[in-house]
Amino acid sequence: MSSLLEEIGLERERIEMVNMSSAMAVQFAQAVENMTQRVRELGPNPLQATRGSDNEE
Amino acid sequence: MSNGLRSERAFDPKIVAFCCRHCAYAAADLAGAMRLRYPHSVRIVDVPCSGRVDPLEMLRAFERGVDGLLVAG
Amino acid sequence: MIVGERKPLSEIMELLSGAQKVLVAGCGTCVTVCFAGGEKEVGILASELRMKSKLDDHPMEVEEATVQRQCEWEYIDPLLERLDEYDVVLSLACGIGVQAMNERFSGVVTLPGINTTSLSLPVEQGIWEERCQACGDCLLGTTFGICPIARCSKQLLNGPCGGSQEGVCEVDSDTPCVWQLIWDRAIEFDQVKRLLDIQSPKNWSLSRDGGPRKIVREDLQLESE
Ligand code: SF4
Ligand code: SF4
Repeated sequence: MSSLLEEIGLERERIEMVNMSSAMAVQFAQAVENMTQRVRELGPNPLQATRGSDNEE
Repeated sequence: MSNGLRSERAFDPKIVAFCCRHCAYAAADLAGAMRLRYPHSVRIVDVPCSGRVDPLEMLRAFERGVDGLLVAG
Repeated sequence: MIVGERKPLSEIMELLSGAQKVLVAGCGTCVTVCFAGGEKEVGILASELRMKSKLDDHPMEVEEATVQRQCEWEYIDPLLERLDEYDVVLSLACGIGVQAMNERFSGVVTLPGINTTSLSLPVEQGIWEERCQACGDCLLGTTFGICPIARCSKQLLNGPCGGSQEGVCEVDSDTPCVWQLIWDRAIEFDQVKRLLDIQSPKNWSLSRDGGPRKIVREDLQLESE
């Protein structure tokens, strides 16, 4: 999957897989936090810039 | 109203998290019950199993402008 | 089954250069079961193409269609009414499907999106091994059901070459020596003697050497044709 992204020209770091059990709430929040931080550094999905205003959800 | 906003607020990455119903989704539920804080810009998609997520769905998400994807099982 | 592999995106982009509106056409039979050109792979490629072309600043409109079999007129004819909307069709069927599309539809060119590789057996999930070369004169009956044409690197007919090493082919250490397999099977059936007869040269004119092959079955043809 990450090589698919690179073929297209998107950073493979935009995808992450994590494992956890149903009791790992803290880890879940942490994973979301980490991912948000990482993607913030990468910047917005470049496809969005050209897309216009249809991503309001 | 806007004076409380942090500067990074300009870019809140939109993250989609595909979560296995029995593991990560339950963990997310618990995180909510425990009042844990995590970025509000994440969108959680409940899937029966993280093996259910295939490349097509992930590509579609990026095509629609998502900034990052988390697959959590 | 007929087995193929998706071409790299960069090659496909090159093939499509200049096109504005593309139809990615899949096939619901052989290439679906080898995960190269079915509905799902069509969806993936179409999505990749839309994103790649947009990032390259030449956004293409890409639509998708998958038919049951691209190698039969009956299945592809329904595509005709949509075709004049597109600059080009990119087919994910095998080479037969791509050619069927081109023969049937003169107005729009159909380009190949996969490399058709072989007639293979899915020996386990994710692995396809070549088993037949459609040689036109099947000799499995004399080789205990194991094909030395498709599976011997040198297509030998009378036992292994000198490079057969402990059951492994000298050309590729991942390939079993097919003559070892044939021999072992002969032992299993206690018929090794049958392998000792010298095989006369194979009639290759029934294979590709005789030029393109064609089967005519008059019993099946419609009277008027
Ligand atoms: S077009 Fe090719 S892949 Fe599709 S059914 Fe026919 S032979 Fe098989
Ligand atoms: S002998 Fe010829 S027809 Fe028979 S399996 Fe081998 S290649 Fe195919």
